[in-house]
Amino acid sequence: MAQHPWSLRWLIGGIYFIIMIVLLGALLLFFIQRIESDNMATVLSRLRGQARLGADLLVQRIETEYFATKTSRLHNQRLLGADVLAAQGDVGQARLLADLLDYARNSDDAKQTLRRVHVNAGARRVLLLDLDGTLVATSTNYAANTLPDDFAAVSPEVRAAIDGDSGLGDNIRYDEQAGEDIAFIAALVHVKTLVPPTSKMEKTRTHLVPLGVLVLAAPLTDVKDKIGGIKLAVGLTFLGVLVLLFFINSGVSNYISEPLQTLSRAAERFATGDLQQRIIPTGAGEVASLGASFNDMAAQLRVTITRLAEERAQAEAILTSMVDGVLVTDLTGNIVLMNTMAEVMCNVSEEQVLGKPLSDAVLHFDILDLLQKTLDSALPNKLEVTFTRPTERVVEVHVAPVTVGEMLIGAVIVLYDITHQRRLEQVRRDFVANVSHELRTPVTSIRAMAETLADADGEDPELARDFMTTIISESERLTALLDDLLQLSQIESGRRLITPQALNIAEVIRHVAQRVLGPITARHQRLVLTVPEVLDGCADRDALVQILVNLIDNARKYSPEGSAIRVTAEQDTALRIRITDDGLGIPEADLERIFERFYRVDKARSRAVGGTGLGLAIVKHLVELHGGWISVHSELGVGSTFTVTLPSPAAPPAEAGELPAGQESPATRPAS
Amino acid sequence: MPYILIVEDELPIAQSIAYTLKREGFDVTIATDGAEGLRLALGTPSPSLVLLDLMLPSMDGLEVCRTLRQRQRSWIPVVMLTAKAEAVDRALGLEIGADDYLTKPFSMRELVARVKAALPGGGSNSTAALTRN
Repeated sequence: MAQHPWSLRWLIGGIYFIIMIVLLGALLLFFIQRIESDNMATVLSRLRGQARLGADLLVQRIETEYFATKTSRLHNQRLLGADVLAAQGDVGQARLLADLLDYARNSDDAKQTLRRVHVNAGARRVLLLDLDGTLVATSTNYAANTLPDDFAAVSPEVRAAIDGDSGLGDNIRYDEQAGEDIAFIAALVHVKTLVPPTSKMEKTRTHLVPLGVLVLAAPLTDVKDKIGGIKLAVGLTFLGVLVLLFFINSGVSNYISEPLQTLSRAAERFATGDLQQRIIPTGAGEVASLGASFNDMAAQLRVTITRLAEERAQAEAILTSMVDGVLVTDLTGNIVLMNTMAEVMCNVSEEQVLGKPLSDAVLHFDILDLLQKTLDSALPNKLEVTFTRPTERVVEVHVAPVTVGEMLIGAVIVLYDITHQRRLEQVRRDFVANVSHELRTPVTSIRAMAETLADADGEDPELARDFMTTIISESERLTALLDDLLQLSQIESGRRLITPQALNIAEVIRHVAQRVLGPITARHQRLVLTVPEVLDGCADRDALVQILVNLIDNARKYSPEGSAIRVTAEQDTALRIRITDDGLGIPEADLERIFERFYRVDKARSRAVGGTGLGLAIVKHLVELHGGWISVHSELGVGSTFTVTLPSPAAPPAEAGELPAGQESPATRPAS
Repeated sequence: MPYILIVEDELPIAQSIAYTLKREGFDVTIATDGAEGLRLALGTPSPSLVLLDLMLPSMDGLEVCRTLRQRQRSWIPVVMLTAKAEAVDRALGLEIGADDYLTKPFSMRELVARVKAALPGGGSNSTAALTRN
């Protein structure tokens, strides 16, 4: 199963992480911005203060020094500068200002003051410009010519200081000479003058007259460094927090997703049928209980699946081992199931016809009609048909509707193979017809002769004698037939019980030999016994006698006069008695049928020798009642050998051996 | 004198019938299997009537009867004798050309009457036979 490209782990972790980065980044930027601007503001404010202070100090120094030197010269008046200026008038004032600038340009005082400002403010340089922007003095040996001519014009701070109300201006720009950002602070240097009151109501006013501009150029490197340091620290902290977050994040998402992944893998294994596995419930409460639920589900599924598999196997076993063919079709008559017997009966395999119409499996229009009738009416139907392939079968077809609740979903077709049943019925009918025929023949003879004799009325005594003899022998034949029929009926209905017991088989054979000797010698035949003195066996004596009598009699009837009938008996793994004659032999085609009732290889011959047609059938039944079997080997014109094989006395048939020892066989012995 | 062929493998029955029919004034020949019966029926002199048992060695009565009819001896009346009493056998026998049918065991008098009735133009004789007995 393909892993979803966006696993829960990455969805939870990733989104959370991205949100954190964005939030933290925004916060960081804000802080850095603030720190930068705050720091800048502080620095600028300090520099502005320094510049203002410097400008005031400069004026004070220049005025003090200027007037100190000029006082003596100027009428010895101890006048304040302002007064002096006021007294000078406009022209004088301009001259005085020029004087002051001139003084500042040359005096060390001014330079000293500038230097002090320079040091205090940590500036690169401090300049004093006149109002035209011309350099008057500097704190350093700053070459005046390095200043551009239009310095004042292009320097926004100078312009701001001159034009602005506050007398201050500042600008930060990159200085190519210094190779760094420099804050240029300009402060207007003005001289204070007193304006005398024009009326009594007024006081003396102070009037400020601009003298020049003090420009303080302070490097921002320190500030920048400081801000850079802060940025770095904040950045590192940010990174640290990010790393920390990353780990917390993946931990959290692992904690959530790992058990889910385990569950997912487990579910995949469940799907492939592995229900043995158990999930160890981990993770958060919900996930852990989900795992536990999975386990419960797996256990229940396993029980259900096992039960279903068992039921299915059971149903399949039942269907497979059924002796009836079962076919199931859906509503459209297509085959959905077919058991082994149905496959055999229809001579197709289930794979060949599964999902195909019934006609693919059973090409029998009556059955197809019957199916349609059942599907149309939802009522069961049945029918008897004969299948010709692969073998001829008489089949009773039952078609029943299959319903779920009220709904018809298909039909089940059951094929009962009643071939055997029909064959048995046929055998029974044939038997009844045969019995009727066999009984009618002697009765007919007797009646015809008796009637003839009655009509003849003693006309022909010789004929009468002849007919009387025949009537007697026909009566005997009738009796023998009735005896055999009765016996056969008792055996076949299970009323003839045999009681096997330890016997000297050799003695029984000799006894039988004595009994049958008369008819044998009458035909000049010989009976040759090859039997040990004692041969222990286990058999029902009466039944064994009858088996031997019937077989020897059979041999006698079908062998020529003067031939020999050999009886041998031996015991190895089982008791074997063989009766061999030099008779006509039995054609191979008839061999397997000679044990059937009334089956005669040669009817005329059989009648001539007086057989009932039931002797061998009785023998076969009696041998089989002992748990043994009889076989025949024959060659036409050479003779036949009948072999009776009885189980060894060591292992007498259990059910027979349990019979009460004294129980007599209920069979009436035939006087054959 | 009518000549009657008896095809019957049960000698006691054949002999009884033969004796009775002789006493009735018929010439009688006995054949004990189907093949011999057919040979005699087709031979000369032609029998006036054939009494034919159904179950015979070598060739059964139905086969004999069918062959007889195919050999353009359809004029010879055939009376079937059989121990099979089922209606289907009777119908089959009559269908393939038997003129009458007697089920074993039968009364000898009935046999004589039927033989006489089946003989060409023998209707009055049979009545005579019945009244005589």
